[in-house]
Amino acid sequence: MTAPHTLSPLFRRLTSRTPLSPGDRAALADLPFRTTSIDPGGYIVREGDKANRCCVLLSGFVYRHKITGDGDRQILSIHLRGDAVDLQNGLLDHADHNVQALTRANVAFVARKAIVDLCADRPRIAHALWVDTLVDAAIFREWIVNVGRRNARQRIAHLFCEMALRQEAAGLCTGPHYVWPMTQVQVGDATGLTAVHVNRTLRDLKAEKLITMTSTDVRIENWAGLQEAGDFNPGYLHLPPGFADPEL
Amino acid sequence: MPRYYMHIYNDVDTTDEEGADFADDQCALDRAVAEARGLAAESVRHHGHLILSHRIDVMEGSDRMIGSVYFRDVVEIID
Repeated sequence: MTAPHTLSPLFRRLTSRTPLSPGDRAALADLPFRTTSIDPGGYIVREGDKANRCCVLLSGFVYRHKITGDGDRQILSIHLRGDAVDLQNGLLDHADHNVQALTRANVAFVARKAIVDLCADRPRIAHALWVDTLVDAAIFREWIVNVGRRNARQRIAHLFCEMALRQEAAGLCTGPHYVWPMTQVQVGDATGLTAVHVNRTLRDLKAEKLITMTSTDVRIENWAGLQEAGDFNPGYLHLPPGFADPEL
Repeated sequence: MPRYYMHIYNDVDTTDEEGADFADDQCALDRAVAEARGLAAESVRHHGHLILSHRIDVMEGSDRMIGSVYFRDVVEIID
């Protein structure tokens, strides 16, 4: 039995939305890459870095964030296995944000030139990566609505719903149990709330029997109720058919 | 850096099991004041009332009480 290719999480993600030919798959498999392990809190991208490589997340969780002039952090997105984390920087000169590991993470770095050349040779791969950045953009839009217009309960419930569906789509979990990689401070930074407010809101969600959780995992007890609490409509995730209405 | 816990006593009691690091007691109390004001504002926004006896207890570890921050002490009501 052949061991899966190191970049297979990326293949899975791209082919879930864009069919690729055997030739395209072989070309992806031939991409040169270098793997490394990052400790929790370790930086993968720093604001201002010269953008000369892309990072594929092979395992673990990482987050994208920016720091204000006063030192406050806003988490912009969470990434998980298979995500091409910094395609955002693929065609730009420098990184305009930071990417840090939430948990221990294994990543593969691919030279930017290799990806650009591959896209020039293989239009379907270029299409697949384009779709991937569009889905990222859709998630960013939803997060703006979440932070800007939803109340604390909705923001946090929405984040739980998103993390559940994305973990299912990445093949990490089948529900109703999911990995929960964030501290309350990090949830606060992702939702524009303080850690105390997050703690208070989590208590309500547990009391309403929508979720149970430990510091490392969450169990969704009432999927329909959690979606309603979070004003959650999964359309923005553009999940492949079969994932939009999971059996939770 | 010491780890502080902020237990909430308002509409329902909420124990802080995770805690957060602050440089010293005063930094933790300063954060508690900001948190109490935030919770008070949330109460007004969503329930239309403010209960002045609600509070946040700040502890270092499990047994050293640093202080209680009452909503009445951090919100000024001007009539």
